[in-house]
Amino acid sequence: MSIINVQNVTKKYGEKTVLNNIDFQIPSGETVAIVGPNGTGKTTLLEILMTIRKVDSGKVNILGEDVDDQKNVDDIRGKIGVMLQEGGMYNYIKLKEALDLFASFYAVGKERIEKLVDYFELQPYLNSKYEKLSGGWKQRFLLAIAFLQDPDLIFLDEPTTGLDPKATQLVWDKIKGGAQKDKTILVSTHSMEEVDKYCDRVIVLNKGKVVENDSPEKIKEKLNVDFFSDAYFKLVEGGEKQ
Amino acid sequence: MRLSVKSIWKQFWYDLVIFFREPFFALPILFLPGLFFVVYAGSMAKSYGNIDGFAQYIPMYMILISFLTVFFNIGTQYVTDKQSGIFKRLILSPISLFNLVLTYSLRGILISVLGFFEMIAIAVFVFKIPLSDNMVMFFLAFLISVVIMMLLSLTLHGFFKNSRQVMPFTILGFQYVLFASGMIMPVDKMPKVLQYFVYVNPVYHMNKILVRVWYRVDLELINILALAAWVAVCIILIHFQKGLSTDK
Repeated sequence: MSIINVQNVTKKYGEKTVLNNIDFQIPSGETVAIVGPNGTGKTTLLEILMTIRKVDSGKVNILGEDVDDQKNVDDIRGKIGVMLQEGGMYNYIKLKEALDLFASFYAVGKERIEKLVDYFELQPYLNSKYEKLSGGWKQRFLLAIAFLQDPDLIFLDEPTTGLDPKATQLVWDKIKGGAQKDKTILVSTHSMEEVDKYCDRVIVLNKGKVVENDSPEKIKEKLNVDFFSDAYFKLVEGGEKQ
Repeated sequence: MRLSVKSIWKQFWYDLVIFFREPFFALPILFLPGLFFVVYAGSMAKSYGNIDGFAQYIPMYMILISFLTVFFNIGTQYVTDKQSGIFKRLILSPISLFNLVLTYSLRGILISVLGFFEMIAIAVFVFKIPLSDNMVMFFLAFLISVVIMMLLSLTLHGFFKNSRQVMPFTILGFQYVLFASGMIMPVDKMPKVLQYFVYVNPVYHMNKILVRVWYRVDLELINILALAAWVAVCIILIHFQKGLSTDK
């Protein structure tokens, strides 16, 4: 069953077409990467799927609801988990306060908060302010917030940018481990290694078009390469496919 | 998903907690105008032997606190929250833009009211200045001024996308309010050209209205009309901004 359904979507900024008549479906329970060169429409696509931006034409359906209807947008926002590239957290808030605040938005109980604190190992930092955390702990905390209301669909915008390999692995262990393994996760990343290692499917965008939408394994097989990074360069330098 | 009163209260509460943790906001906003008030009233008492007539400056200091809170603090925070993604993250939760603006506004009103009582306390307990016999109306007029200032702040700051853009505007705005509102320099002593800048300054008209309410004197229509005109301008600008931000 598709949890995200995108049909003939076009998005322009002025005269510039950022997304050009794109189509794809994302099945439930997969970890899906969106990759592509800078300026190719990844962020725009992610923001459309997160309901921040509207399309110029085409249809977008998230969790069975049409995003054109504002009533559905409010409902969808309550059901999705989000981790933004820019963080989007108050610097002077303590972790326990932020958890309490976001829990009140999603009507989440103490039991769920405790479970997440345990899973993400946040206990020693609950009384620390967000600004005092290292990059890796900040990401881990933002992940906990994204998973707070136990959403079925989670958007992660470059969750490991700027992290060292160990912190990156820890973040991915938390994304893919425990009760999270059945979730649908949409992740925007520049790391082809992470796509290879952690993603079930990858959508490759180039010049506003979807040039590939398949598992990294199948894409590598089709293009006869050993690493997804090689497949990526072939795809983005080899032109449009859709 | 509808938000409960509890969640709006929590948003307001943590917004306030964070404000008091910001080292360069809470202390200067609430402390410095009080200090200026004490120093200015003290030096006036020394020079003239009494502080008769000083009551006319009380609204000015209240407006100063309100301006620092609503325009300087909340206005710049509105821009930096947009820049740092806080706005985006909150809007992607069930909290609406309306709730966000509501919590900003409640904080602005609360801190301004704290400033109000701070000035009253200094006036009464330090300098024994008699209060106005029109305090209820004065308080209401002050609240209306704060709401108008909030509208101005959010409207004008809505045009900025990052702190680099907004800082020069904030500094200029501060200078404008300080020197071209009749608060520090007497308007009639200014060159004619500069007086026009004063007459379009909403803070000048707020101050005029509050002083008149304090002394229970009839209001001048021009002050009310000037503020009404600013409210109308803000409403037009908000519609213009909506047009700019639409993606369609």
